[in-house]
Amino acid sequence: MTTDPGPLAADVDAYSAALRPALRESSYDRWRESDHATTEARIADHAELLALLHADGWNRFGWPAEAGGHGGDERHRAALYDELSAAGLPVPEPVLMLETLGPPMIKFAPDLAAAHLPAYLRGEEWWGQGFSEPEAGSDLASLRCRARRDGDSFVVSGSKLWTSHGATATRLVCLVRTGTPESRHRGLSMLMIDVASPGVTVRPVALASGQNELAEVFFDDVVVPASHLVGEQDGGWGVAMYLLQFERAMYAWMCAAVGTRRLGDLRDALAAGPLQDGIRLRLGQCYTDLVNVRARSSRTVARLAAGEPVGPEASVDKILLATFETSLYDLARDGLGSDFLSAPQARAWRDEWWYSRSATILGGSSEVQRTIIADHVLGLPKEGS
Amino acid sequence: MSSLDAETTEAVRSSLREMFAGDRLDLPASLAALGWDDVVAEDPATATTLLFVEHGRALATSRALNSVICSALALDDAHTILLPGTDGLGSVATGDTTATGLVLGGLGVGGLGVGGLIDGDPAGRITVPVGTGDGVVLVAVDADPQPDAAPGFDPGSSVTRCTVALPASISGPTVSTTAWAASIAAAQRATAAEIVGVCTSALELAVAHTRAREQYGRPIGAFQAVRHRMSECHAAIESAKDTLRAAWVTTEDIGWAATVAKARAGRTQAEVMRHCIQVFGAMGLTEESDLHRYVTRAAALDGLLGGHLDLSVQLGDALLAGEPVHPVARIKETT
Repeated sequence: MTTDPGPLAADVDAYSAALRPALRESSYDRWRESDHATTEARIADHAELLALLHADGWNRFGWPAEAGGHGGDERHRAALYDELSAAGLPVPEPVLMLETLGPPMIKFAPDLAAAHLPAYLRGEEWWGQGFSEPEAGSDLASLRCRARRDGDSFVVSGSKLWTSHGATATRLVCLVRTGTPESRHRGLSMLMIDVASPGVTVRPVALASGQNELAEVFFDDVVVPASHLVGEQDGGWGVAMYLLQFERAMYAWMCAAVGTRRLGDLRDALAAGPLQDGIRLRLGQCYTDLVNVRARSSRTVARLAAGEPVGPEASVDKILLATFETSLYDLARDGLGSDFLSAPQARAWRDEWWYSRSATILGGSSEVQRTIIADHVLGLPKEGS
Repeated sequence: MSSLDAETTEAVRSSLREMFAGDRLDLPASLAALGWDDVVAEDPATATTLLFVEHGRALATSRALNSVICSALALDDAHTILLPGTDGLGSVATGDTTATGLVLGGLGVGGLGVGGLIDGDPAGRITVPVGTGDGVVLVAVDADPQPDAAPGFDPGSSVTRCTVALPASISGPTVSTTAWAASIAAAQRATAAEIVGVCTSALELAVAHTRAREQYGRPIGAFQAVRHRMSECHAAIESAKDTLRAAWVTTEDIGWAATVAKARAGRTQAEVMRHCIQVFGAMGLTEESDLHRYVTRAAALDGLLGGHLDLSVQLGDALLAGEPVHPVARIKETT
């Protein structure tokens, strides 16, 4: 793209209209219907797609110039994911964590964002999010990974578990304890940690599919410059809550965009074979679930773009997404029958089925989301009160 | 088409609520007094949704839905349209000798609705849409004054199932298939809004009950199993609202989008009522609580213009036959 990005940054409809034919050019063909044997191979290949999108300028919309972008807002990013899916292309895997970690970095650590986000947008690096720990899954405020302030540095010791893309990420944005062990959510800070730092050990964690989607990371007195603090010391919970809006909203939209493509793939596969009883109904319901997430999430994206806080209602987005993903992949498993179990061409469905089980776990389990709605939207009596 | 701002929307909502709270509802007169036509002209999506949500919340009975179809077809309000139900009910083709479907009020049978009498066509006629090769013929037939069955599951309903005889040779004004589909889409959106209203009131009742009812020395709303059921209801209602909104603003096939919205709303009522009945315990199955009225009304509305199972199968079949996976909702500069 050689033209001035200004008009497209100012109008998402114009951006989508320009993007649509561009993504159908032959330079993008190698990523259409691409299949990878491992997560590592997929993420590396997708990073090259990100590099091409960057060279053409498309993935720079929606990010501020200070972070290497062309301007525009969340709607540009959301439109990109949708247009990629409509063109039969994957949403590049590294974008998953970019959507979660990019916005809080820009808001709470603009210098770090200026230094590192441009390389992320170019597909040269990607990051992991270190929140969960062996003893802190849904109960995030009980995390124990410790960061001790030592002059201009923090010294980090402890571990993180179930880190998405942790096996290949070069930086980790971690929520660590800087307060007392009893300080719960008040004594937490967010740090960006370079995986190449001495004392960091990464061990891939395979899903039951065999794919290394996650990792465990150990920190053994890792020295992190204080300039790598995201937000204030002991202000990590606020950063995490800001981040979760994006994780619950942008992530939902991204998954809905990908899900639109995958539901089309599944429909093609189902239409080609004999239909089991009940599949017509389930396909119709699954499609309704998809429209549901899209309808919900597109509005939430617009709210984020307008700078409105999304708040506890974002839990509804998360629930609707999980409902759709569970129904889509269960339909694939049940509807494809014996092909799902063993056919070589169904490997992606098998891998994705396992990954789809995380829809009700990651970023706050379905139980956590329902509790948030009960507490903060419906105002029910506190649990156990 | 402009859109009502938040303040005006709130004012319209409270006027409607007040209107539906009145003793004897004369909907056409009350709406005329509110200057309703102007509100609709300014923002049909918000106005229609507000009207039917409040209609549902109040468990009102009226011919408002009939008016939606008449208005979409540019017909006089006095026509009583034979509406589709579920299981193919109300689908009439050339050559049929009788037609069975649903009508709102009318039939000359007074006192169908608890909300008051509903006036039908003074001549007691029903307009039957008959599908032909080149459009839908609106055939006026004399109504059988006896409905097929007394109101059963929803005694407060104004919806009556009836069968009418069709003349051997059909005639009447013909509307295009597209125009008929658009009128059904409008009616499906209105019905989806009414279901949202019924479910919203039912959830409010249930939430209030879980705060007040104590067992094991604490309000039952403090038990996670109960809390999560209520959250499920909230998510289901929100999803029906969002899908309905998308059906109004979509730039794609409005008939398809309205079908999705009606299917979603129908499923929402099934989920919401299942949870609400459960948290009411035995009270939910008796007349001690008002909940039963919401349960039956929601079911009756689900059965109008296609139940959620029927519509979902229709969507599934269309997709299997090669219909694109329509996005319906997209990222737009203005939404």
